[in-house]
Amino acid sequence: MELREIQEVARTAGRFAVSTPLVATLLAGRWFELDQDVLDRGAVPIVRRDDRLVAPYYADGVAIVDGAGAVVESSGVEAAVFADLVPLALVPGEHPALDGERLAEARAVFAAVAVGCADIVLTRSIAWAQTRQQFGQPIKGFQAVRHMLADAHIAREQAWTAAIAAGHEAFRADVWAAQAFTLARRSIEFGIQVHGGVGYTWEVGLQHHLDQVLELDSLFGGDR
Amino acid sequence: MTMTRFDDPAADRFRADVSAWVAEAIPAEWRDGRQALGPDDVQRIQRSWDEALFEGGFAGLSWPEEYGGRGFGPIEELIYYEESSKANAPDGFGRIGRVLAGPTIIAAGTEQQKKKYLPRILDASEIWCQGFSEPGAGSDLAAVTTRAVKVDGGYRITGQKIWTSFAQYSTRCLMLAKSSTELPRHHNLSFFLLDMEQDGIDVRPIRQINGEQEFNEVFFTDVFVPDEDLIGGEHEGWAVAMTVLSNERGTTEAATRLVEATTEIDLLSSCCSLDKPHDAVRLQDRKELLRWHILRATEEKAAGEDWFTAGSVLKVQWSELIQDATRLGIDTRCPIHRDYWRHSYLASKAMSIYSGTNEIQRNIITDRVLKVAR
Repeated sequence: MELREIQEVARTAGRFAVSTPLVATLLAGRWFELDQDVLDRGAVPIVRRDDRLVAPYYADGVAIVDGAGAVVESSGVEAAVFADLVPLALVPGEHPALDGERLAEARAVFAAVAVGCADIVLTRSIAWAQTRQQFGQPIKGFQAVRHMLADAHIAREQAWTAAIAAGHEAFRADVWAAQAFTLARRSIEFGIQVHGGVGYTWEVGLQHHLDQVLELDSLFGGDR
Repeated sequence: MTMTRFDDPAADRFRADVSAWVAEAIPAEWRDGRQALGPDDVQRIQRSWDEALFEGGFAGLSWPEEYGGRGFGPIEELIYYEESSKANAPDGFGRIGRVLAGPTIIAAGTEQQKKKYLPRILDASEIWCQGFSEPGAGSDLAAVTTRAVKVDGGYRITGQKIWTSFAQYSTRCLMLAKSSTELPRHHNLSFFLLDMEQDGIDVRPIRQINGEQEFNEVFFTDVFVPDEDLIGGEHEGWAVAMTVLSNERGTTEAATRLVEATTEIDLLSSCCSLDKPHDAVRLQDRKELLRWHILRATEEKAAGEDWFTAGSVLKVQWSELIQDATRLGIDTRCPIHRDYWRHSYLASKAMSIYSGTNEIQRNIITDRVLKVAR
């Protein structure tokens, strides 16, 4: 698959909070000649952090493959709760990790997931502004609320541009991804504010999308 | 689907051509001693720059070839602006003609209007201004009250326009005026190509908060426009103004502002007193993001998207970026560049106001892009 196509899929996966390692599997399929049984289980790209390898998603039976696509580690990991995504797969030692061009591509693709996270929060915020009544009218009628929706859109669009740029400029994909995560996060912040107190409750669940952006940022946002 | 045009070897060759031409074309007195030039010299150089652009073939980069243009896309335009800015090229007076009047005439003009006006815009023998805003019609542009009264053979125009850049040098004005007092809003305006060299026109410069007098208020008293200088249908001027302006203004304006942002941020990065280099790096990153956003918008426009879906986001982006840059410039408290930053800080205050205030842009986004009914 073309990287940009994977990015489109990744954005949609982010929008629907797809919790399976779909996106990572698409990337692995782009990079490696993987055995079907590995693909079936879902492959997870990993990042080297200090002396550990960290994968962005929890998946039962994470497969760690080397540059040739051979499985170098395939073990069950302990179940993680949804809100506690890191560390997900910790494998000490000298495994070939995601680096160079592949790391750049992973940054571009997971930046796209973050844009999807901003998409869904904006969609929900618009729906909320249309339903929630205060002062005898839906709050969508207030310009302050309308401008927050516009700001959420502006940040989300900028985040998407940064994700696309990350896919084109591998040499600074870390900077682009960091911008995409920051902007996706900002977009979500506006969405939470539009929701008011309700947006701050666990039950409404906006934090899942924010969490996902924060988590992806810590894995793929680079050091800046 | 991919934005590879920038990596295109043809784009690189074009960049080299522009860069070589600009280096050659900039007058030495401007390049080497701009600070020492008086206002008359600056004016003379700006005028000669319009002519140089025409002679060099850079006046109508994105105009179709059949109208004397080069038939290029916004990417070449962006490259031109980047290279001319790097070389500190002067700005001519012909900008409104090249960017607004020309594309409007190409899109909505009659064959006769195209033949008559386009060559004079390209060679800058006519300078254009834009008669849109009025004291009572700023953000609410459709509320213009300058009257166009139908008379034998044409119209008589009476009213006041404001924020009219280049009016003092202009021979033609893109005039939006109210041609009907009965028809409903948005269907009561007409768009004219008005001759500025006639009696009844009074141009008064407005002094700005940065001390410059770039724009004017212009009073029109019983000024004549012949029928053949009506553009688009009678009473359908609003549609002409909106479709053409929103489509043509976006990329070009964003490209010129990107270039301005580059100037400010590059200076910031090298400013002796900058104690927060990290902030300057962030601004550099945001400037690169703006550049890519222009490319992306260009790509989407080519794919048939309405320009306004990206145009409002771009407007907010470039204006806030430049304002943040000049604010940081003031914050450096740099003794060497103090006057420079004070001036550009004040100048940047206008950016969130003109070309549609940023509040209007946010309204457009919520109304027309997100489609949230009020």
